[in-house]
Amino acid sequence: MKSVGQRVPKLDAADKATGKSRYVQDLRLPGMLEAKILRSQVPHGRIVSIDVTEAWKVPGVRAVLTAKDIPAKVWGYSKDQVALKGDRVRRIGDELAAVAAPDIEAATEACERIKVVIEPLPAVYGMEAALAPGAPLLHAARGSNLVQTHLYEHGRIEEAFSKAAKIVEGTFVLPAQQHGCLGPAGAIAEWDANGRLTMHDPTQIPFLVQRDLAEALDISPADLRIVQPCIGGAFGARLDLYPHEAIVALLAKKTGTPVRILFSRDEDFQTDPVRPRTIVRLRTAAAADGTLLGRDADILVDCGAYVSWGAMTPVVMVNTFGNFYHCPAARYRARTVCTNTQPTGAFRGFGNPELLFPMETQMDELARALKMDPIDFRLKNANRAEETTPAGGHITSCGFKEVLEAVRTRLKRPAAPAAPHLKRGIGVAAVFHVGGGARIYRSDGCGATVKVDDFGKVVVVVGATDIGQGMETAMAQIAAEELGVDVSMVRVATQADTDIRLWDVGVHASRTTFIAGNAVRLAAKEARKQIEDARAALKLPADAPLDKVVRAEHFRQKGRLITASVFYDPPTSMVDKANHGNVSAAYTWGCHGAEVEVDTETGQVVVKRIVAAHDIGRAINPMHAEGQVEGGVIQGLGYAMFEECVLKDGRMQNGYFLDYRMPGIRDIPEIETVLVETNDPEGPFGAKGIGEPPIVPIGPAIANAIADATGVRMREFPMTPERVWRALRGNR
Amino acid sequence: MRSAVAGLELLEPRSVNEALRMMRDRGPATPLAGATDLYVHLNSGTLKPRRFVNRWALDELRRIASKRDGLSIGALATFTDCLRSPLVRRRLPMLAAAAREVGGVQIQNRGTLGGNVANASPAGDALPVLAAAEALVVLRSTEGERRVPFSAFYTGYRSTVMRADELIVALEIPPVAGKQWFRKVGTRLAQAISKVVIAAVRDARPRIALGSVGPTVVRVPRTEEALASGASIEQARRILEAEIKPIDDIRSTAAYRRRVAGNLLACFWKETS
Repeated sequence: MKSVGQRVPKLDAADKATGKSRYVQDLRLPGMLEAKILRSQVPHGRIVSIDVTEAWKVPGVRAVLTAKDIPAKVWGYSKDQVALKGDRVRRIGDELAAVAAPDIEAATEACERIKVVIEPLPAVYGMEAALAPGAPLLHAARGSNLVQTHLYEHGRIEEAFSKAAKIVEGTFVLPAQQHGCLGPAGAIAEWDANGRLTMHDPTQIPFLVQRDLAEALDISPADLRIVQPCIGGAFGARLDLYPHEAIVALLAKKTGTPVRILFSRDEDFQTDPVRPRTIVRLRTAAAADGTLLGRDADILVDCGAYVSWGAMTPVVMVNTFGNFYHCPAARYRARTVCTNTQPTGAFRGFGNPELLFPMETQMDELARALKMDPIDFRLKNANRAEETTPAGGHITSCGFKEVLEAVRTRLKRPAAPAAPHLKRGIGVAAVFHVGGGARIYRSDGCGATVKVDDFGKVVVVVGATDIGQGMETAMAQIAAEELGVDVSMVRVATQADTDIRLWDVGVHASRTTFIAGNAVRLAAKEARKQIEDARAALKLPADAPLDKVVRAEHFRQKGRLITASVFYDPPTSMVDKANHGNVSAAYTWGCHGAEVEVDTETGQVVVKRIVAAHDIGRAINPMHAEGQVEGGVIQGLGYAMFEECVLKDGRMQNGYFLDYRMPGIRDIPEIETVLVETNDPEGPFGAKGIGEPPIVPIGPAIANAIADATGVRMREFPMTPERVWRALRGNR
Repeated sequence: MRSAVAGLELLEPRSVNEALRMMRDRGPATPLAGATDLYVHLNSGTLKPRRFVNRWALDELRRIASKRDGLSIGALATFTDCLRSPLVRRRLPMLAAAAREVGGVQIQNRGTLGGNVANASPAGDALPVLAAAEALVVLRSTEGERRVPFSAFYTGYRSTVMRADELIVALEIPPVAGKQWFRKVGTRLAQAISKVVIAAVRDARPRIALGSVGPTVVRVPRTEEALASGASIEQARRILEAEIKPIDDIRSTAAYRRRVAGNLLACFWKETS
């Protein structure tokens, strides 16, 4: 193949590297005002009064809004969210009032002058405390802080555990993780004279925001158009509608002027829809010969103060829980809980890192207890191609064995360390993830149009969103391959708005290459057929160039345009009430190996080397696939080793990059990436998704390597020197 | 949140004398140079002072010079200046090592030694170096100049003996005999605030100073005395762990800091033997 499988540099790389890409921070519309939101400093309370009189006295102020000035609409994932809070605040950071002024300083000063009286109410921060009888209630209408209970079961669980030769169990604690996008949240709103709204909004879900924002503003979705500027990172952080999007639209409506809101870094930390705090109690049983018998999980997931996508986490977790490995019995309960903390959302991997840290730790514990090699133990229980799991997942392509063997070959036991207080070890962990979309809405579809113009230029208009993952380049390569043109002749219309683009459910679940890739491939195939038909009908030679064919069509009566539109929705189903179903058209497999050195005097863990093997069906662009793997490994390394939101009385204590530690270049080990290609039957040119899987197994691989080095099991992230040091001393 | 800047006042003196008159006549005023600490507070809305004296342009305070066999380092010398100065590298290599660990390159280019001293953070990277080297802080006002021994400069958490009308003009470092040693332990390998930072000199009279283990940078006289009188490193380590008073905070715990300080002392002793 000429385009697919080639290491084509990212088409947007030069613009990004030279500062030419335009993010929402770079956009300025004529007359544009800047917005600032006044936020609650009380974690839970009743709003007694909000007096904005003094705010109006700041020169230049054009609008001051409170709950009284906006439509009384409740919206959100679970209809518990409002844009500006009028009666109750439920977390530090809740939106109380908003100001529009010509510059951010004036807007900030106006906010500082607003007088707010809040009567504090008892607050609750821990999930277990929130579920205890008599706990302060966040949403009285729900009657409890419990949002939802998710249950799943297959096989005979009690029997499985009663006949087991070995059972391991443990409680695992996972912290909130910040996305820390380089581009903080922001949006620009402008209304035309006919009452139609245009949002310049770096969202991951333009077509769902069209619906949700219209609902929050009480307008028709037909009067709303979403334009996405270049998106400065997302990783799941832009997967819902958030209060600031409604607020900036309301300020723009009030002033009749374009209004922009940009979050400061501090505000971005306070409002980021973090990966939810999670507590997993898990036990796993195996027979003496290494056959898995059963697993049993009880899980708590923190939604924060309002229900957003964090509440969906158990639905994603259960997919792995029910499908991964041959496990004849499985029982699962996961409860989502509201607390007076910032609302939680989607984060790359979406529940899978939280679940696979416990699961893959216990796979390692069982292998050791049964004196089996951890890779042999996994192979013995591995899923295979063309099988249907008890959870209803249908496995098509399966490179699980290949990724395990790839790590086995490359991960060598290290030489003895230089000093007795240093210990070295190696560990592995595997990942199962959706790789062919994930049907969590009724549609998992995406539309694409491929147009060939009279200069032979191919334009791809696709619903999918590029959040830096390389959608633009992958789609161009797929279209170029199908049409037999050079990638340089293809443009992907990333600047187009929701009026022009074709519907897509959003960028999430590692779905874009697979779903949008199939839509683009099918549209390109159709366009190619139109060209071939035109050549035949117009009696042009078979090698007549594209531009000539298209011109011949344009320059005649009753000519035809070369343009094809296709909607692709994968052959999958939503899960039923018992959480059974085949949500993805393909599944991906991966295995990471880690080599660590532990300083037993300080607890410092140095990750020396990572081997990351992933079955991705086919690499549309091996260079970008390697980039996704390396990025996932680094982000997962941060989650496992450094990152944690430190809360005190509901307030984040380390909401800045100085003390919220993401890995720096000196913390990043050598990463060896292995791409296994299994040529998936449904994927475009055999490809499967790779966006999320690499963030998942890195943490448990390191934890298993620490256990190999020291004999100590870590069951809490991040595995900071203090935690490791305490664990080495029996947690005294 | 970002504070409104409209209410802030910036005074721009053209000479040290003008700056000193401004400090006397227009106070209360806060001197600023690299502003690397100040901007953090400005952005987080916790900046209290309203009037500032910008001394960044006063190049005469940027000099690094030989003073007898020691050094005189102007208050405005940046960490990059310290890092690149052959004099500093020859006579006070532990300062060059500390300068290399401060923030990233941009911060090293703006952050000044005088600012590090004046900011009075217990985690200031250069402060243990100045304490171990027994530096003098040169303070000047319109009334004249005085020299304060570094060990007497801090009076408590973020408080110093400086008067409101005084500026730090230089740090004077007497000749340092013996092997110098510096180490910083942070939450990651670069661009981190220290959990423990240590500077030490190996001599007949060992001098050891630590940051982030108390309200100010501290010398540890009992530990130094024990090492000087031939105690084993294990004994010295126990004395040190009892002598320092670290706290639990978001960057670390007291128990961990104590342990790491002990480990660092052992490393110092081994690596300078």
